Formats: sequence, C-alpha cells, structure tokens
Amino acid sequence: MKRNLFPLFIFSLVFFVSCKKDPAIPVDQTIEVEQPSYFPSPVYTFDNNTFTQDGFELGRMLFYDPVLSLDSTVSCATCHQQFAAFSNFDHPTSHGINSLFGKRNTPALYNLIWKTNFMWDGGVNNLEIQPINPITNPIEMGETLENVLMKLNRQKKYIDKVKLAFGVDSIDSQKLLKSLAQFMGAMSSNNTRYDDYLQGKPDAFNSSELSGLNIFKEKCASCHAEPLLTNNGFVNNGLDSIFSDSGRQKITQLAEDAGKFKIPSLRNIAVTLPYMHDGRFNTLEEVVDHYSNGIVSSTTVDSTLPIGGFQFSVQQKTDLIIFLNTLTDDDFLHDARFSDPAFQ
Amino acid sequence: MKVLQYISIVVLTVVIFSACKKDEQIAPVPGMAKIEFNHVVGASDLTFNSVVYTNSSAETFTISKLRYYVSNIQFTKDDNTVFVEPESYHLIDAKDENTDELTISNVPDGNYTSITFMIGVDSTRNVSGAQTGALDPLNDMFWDWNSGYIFFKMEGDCDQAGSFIYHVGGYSGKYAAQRMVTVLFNGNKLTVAEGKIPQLLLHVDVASFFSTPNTISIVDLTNSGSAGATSSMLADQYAGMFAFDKIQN
Ligand code: HEC
Ligand code: HEC
Repeated sequence: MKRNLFPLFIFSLVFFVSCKKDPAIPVDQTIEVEQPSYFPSPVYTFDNNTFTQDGFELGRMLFYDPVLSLDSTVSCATCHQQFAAFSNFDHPTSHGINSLFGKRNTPALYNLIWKTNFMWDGGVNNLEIQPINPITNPIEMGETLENVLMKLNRQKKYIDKVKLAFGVDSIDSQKLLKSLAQFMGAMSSNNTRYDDYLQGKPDAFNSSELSGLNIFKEKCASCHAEPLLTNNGFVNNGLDSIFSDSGRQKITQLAEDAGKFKIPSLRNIAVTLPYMHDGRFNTLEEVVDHYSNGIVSSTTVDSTLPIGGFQFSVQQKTDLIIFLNTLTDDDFLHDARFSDPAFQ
Repeated sequence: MKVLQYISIVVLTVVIFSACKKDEQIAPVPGMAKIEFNHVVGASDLTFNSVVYTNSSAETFTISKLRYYVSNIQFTKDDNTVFVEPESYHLIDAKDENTDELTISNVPDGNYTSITFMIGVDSTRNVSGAQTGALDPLNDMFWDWNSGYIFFKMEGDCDQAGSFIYHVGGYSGKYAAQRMVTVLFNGNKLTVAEGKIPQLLLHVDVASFFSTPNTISIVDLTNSGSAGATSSMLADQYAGMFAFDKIQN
C-alpha cells in the first residue's frame, strides 16, 4: 500500500500545480499498462488502439456513466464493482435495468489483455467488442448503440474528451468501444503477496501458504495456470451431471463442449464471491469442498479430475484457502485511477 | 517586397483554383468500374412485402429484408492478371438503392473477364475488434453474444409457415459461412479505360436461394440465428444466387 501511495501523492501534486499554471500541460505519464516481466506477452496489444491518458479517461467516464443504459439506472460499474475486483459482490447472477436478473455470475475484470476471449462461454473474441453485449442486452442495460451515441454526443464533456483522445468531434461506435478497451485493458492486477513470492522476495510466504501453493501447483495449476492463474481454456470442472447452461457448446455447437466454461483466473478470488458461472458457491470453503468431495461425473467432465473429488485432508483444505487469500491485490481494489471519476 | 508577396499570393490562388478546376474535369477518373446487384425472384424483380412469390417447395412468401456483405472483390483480366480491391467491405441492402451499386476505383485499365468476391466477412476482420464503415456494429449485422458478423439476412413471411428469419454467419471452423463467388462474364469483357465507367450488372436471385443446391422448405426451416450447421447450409444456398446479367461498357 504505502509504496503505491507515494507516486499517487506526487501525481496529485503535479496535477494541481499543472492545473494552476497551465491546464494544457499533459499529465500523460500517470497511467500506463503494467506488464510484469514474469507475465506472458499480452493477447491484446493496443497496436490498433493507441493507448493514451485521454483515451483511458474517456473509457473511465463511460464505464461509470449510467447514461449507457436505457433508463439511466445502470452503468458498467453497477455490476462490475471495484472493491470486488470489478465483479458483482454477493450477486449470484447479474442484476440489470428494471431489476432484471441475468443467468450468469458477473466475472471480475482485471488482466483482460491476457485473455484470448471473454464471457463464461468465450463467445466474445475481442476486448473491444465486449461492451456491445451488456449495452444492448435487454436485461442488462437494454439500450441500442445508436441511442447511446446520440445521448453521449449531446454532452459537452464527452465531445471535449473524444477530441482530446482521438482528435475527432463526436463519439462513434468505434471510439466508444476503443476507449472502453483502453480503460479496461489498463486494469492490471499484479501486486499481491503471491507476486512477491513469484519475484523471489524472501519470506513472502509462510509455511502454511507455501504448503497451500504446493497443493495448488499439484492439483489446480493445470487449469489455473501460473502466473495468470488461468490457461484460458474451457473445461467442465465437475459441478453438474446435467447441464442447465450448456456453456461453451452455445458457441461451438459441439456436443463435446456441453457444460464447459472458461477457466477463471483466481487472482483477487477472496473478494469476487460468489463463485462459478452461476454463482452457486458463496465461500472459498464451499469451492474447496467441491474439489475435495463434490466432483460429479458427466459426459464432459475433465478427465484429470477424480470423480468424487481429491479427498483433501482438513489441513490441506486450510492451506489451500490460506494460499488463495494471498491472491488479493489491495492496491488494485483501491487504485484511484480506476474508480468513479465523479468522486474525484 | 510587398509587391512580391502580393504577386505570389495571386499566383498561389490561381494555382489552387486551376488545380480545383482540373480535378473536376477529370471525372470520370480512369480506372473506375461499377457493379450493380439487381435483386430478382426468378424472372421478376424483387419487390418487398407486397408481392407474393412461390418457391420450389410450392410455398408462397413475401420478402421483407435482404442484406448481405460483399467483400474481398477481385477482377480478373483476359491476361489472367488479378486486381484486388483494397479494404474491400461492402454491405448491400436490397431495399436501399444507394448500396446495391458499388463503385470500385483505381482499377488498372484492361479487359476483365470475371469477378470474384466473398459473401461474408473474412475471419481476420471478425476478430479485429471495433470496426467502422460497412463493418460498424451499428449496421445491425453483428452478433454480440457470439461475436462475429452476420453475413447474410433474409426475412419474410410465408403463408404456410408464418414469418421466417434467416441470419447467417460463422467465421471459422467447420461451419464457416463465408462463400467465394466467381461470376464469369460469358465471353463479354468489362473494359476499364480512361474516360469510361463500365458497369457490370449481376442478378441476385431469391428463387435460387430456395432451390439450389438444396431445396429449402420454409415450413421446415423458419429460423437461423447463429453460426453452425444450419448457417453453413444456408451459405451454400446464397453462394448460388449470383449470376451474370450484362455489361454496359
Ligand atoms: C447487469 C450487469 C452487468 C452490466 C451492467 C455490465 N456487465 Fe459486464 N458482465 C456481466 C456478466 C453477467 C458477464 C458474464 C456474462 C457471460 O459470461 O455470459 C459480464 C462480462 C463482462 C466482461 C468479460 C469478462 C471476462 O473475463 O470474460 C467484460 C470485459 C465486461 N463484462 C465489461 C462490461 C462493460 C464495459 C460494461 C458496460 C458497458 C458491462 N460489462 C456492463 C454483467 C454486467
Ligand atoms: C480441470 C480444470 C480445473 C482444475 C484442475 C481446477 N479448476 Fe477451478 N475452475 C475450473 C473451471 C472451468 C471453473 C469455472 C467453472 C464454472 O463456473 O462452471 C473453475 C472455477 C474455480 C473457482 C471459482 C472462480 C470464480 O471466479 O468463480 C475457484 C475458486 C477454483 N476454481 C479453484 C480451484 C482450486 C482451488 C483447484 C484445485 C483444488 C481448482 N480450481 C482446480 C477448472 C479447474
């Protein structure tokens, strides 16, 4: 925490000073897309969407603006809450306009530029495309892109910002989507005790955490691959014998994909409850119990998972959970650059 | 000094104006060709909503919508050289006369004997994020839940089956629905040359969609709304809709 507050303080200072002296002085260095050296190369590269401070800030304004929804009640941040690593705290399935509920649990948003596709079923193939879905989904934001653009282009603050960000006089669908991609793409989360461990910091982990990590490496990391804690694949982790949500099959139409879902990253897992695509588990204890004793047989259950579960001892379960609790990135959860710009 | 400045401004103005004039005179620009897509049902022109047609399954129907992507256009010359249109993405709306005629520019002079194009959008553009122009998601030809372009939309009403909606897409894998179409000019030549805008007229036949290569019964198939086996089958149907009509050089 401490070490990250200092640059923020400096930044605020610079910001105020520059505001007073000359509002035109760019404060451009303030956000960059962090890519730790021990992460693989990102999938989304910003090659066709040059990352700028203004582009990022435009995306941030949009992310927090309920004007994106039909009745101006729901913003992206209604469902994607920063303190919950941009998942929806305590909502098993999403909750949109008119209190309509979706079918799936709202995933956390971070390290998105390392993802090969989006949604629990992987139906969305590019970070830039993702926002079309909630905006136009009748039970999420229930709007049309045309109408959203019309509403945005009536507001001076958006006209001013898109000019700074892209040098154009109005927001079209591409600028809307690319700026949201800049904001979301910059959400890197990599400041955890686990990252300290990965970087070889001595005493990053105590013995219980180390033991949890070792169990994790042996039983979980084939899917929740280090260091991102996902290999971006789709598998059936043995939740159900009959599938009420066909998952990946919806996209591929292949019987062999029935009941398979995106392997989620487990970073910030302690704060992204509830768990699984339908939010069926409320605690990490329940999740670990599932892997220990709850894995059920079905046509597509992953062959590496033992039916009936791994049969963990009480100590193993405790250690696993202790390890999962080292994955919380408090700096990310409180990073002011990602918070609601209206409150700054 | 002042005089010199004055003169140079005058000269500059003259140059600018004369340049403008010249530009206007050069229309038509060398290397242009037009492609007109004429939508028909068998022997008659396609009229939306009001005219009832009969398909090869003896079902009677009207058409309310026909839109599709034509992309990656190429012309082949009589010496077998090929001109590929850059950034070649066009959305044709049979209802909209502004879109059913395409103007292709910078075509090298020569006599062309065939055209090849894709119905649909290549997989690259399906995975490249937010696009503009013909590929803007605002055009209502985009699936957001399984992202990718809708290559072809045909909608209508059938007396025997009620409304039918055929939305076809799918950019990769075994059900990919892009289809390459080559139309030979039957010995005719599209002559691209300075001062000319030759025009290629194509027939796009809805009757053929229902009959070739498979017979489509609307009663049996009222809806296609995603990529997959049905989409891919319907793509085979639209691949055969395009036929040579005539050339006006
Ligand atoms: C009503 C709640 C709701 C709103 C509002 C909402 N989302 Fe989501 N978001 C979800 C749910 C639920 C999913 C997962 C859906 C699925 O997998 O089928 C999701 C998935 C995502 C994902 C994919 C994450 C991943 O790892 O696969 C991104 C990115 C995202 N949303 C961004 C946004 C943006 C940007 C907005 C605003 C334009 C927004 N969301 C508005 C509920 C919401
Ligand atoms: C065979 C691959 C596989 C293995 C091995 C695996 N998981 Fe998972 N895990 C998944 C998939 C897939 C999901 C999402 C399933 C769903 O929602 O339907 C998931 C979900 C989770 C979630 C919930 C994440 C969220 O955001 O909702 C947690 C926590 C989790 N796994 C922990 C573990 C632990 C701990 C282990 C080792 C004991 C483990 N996993 C082993 C594939 C796997």
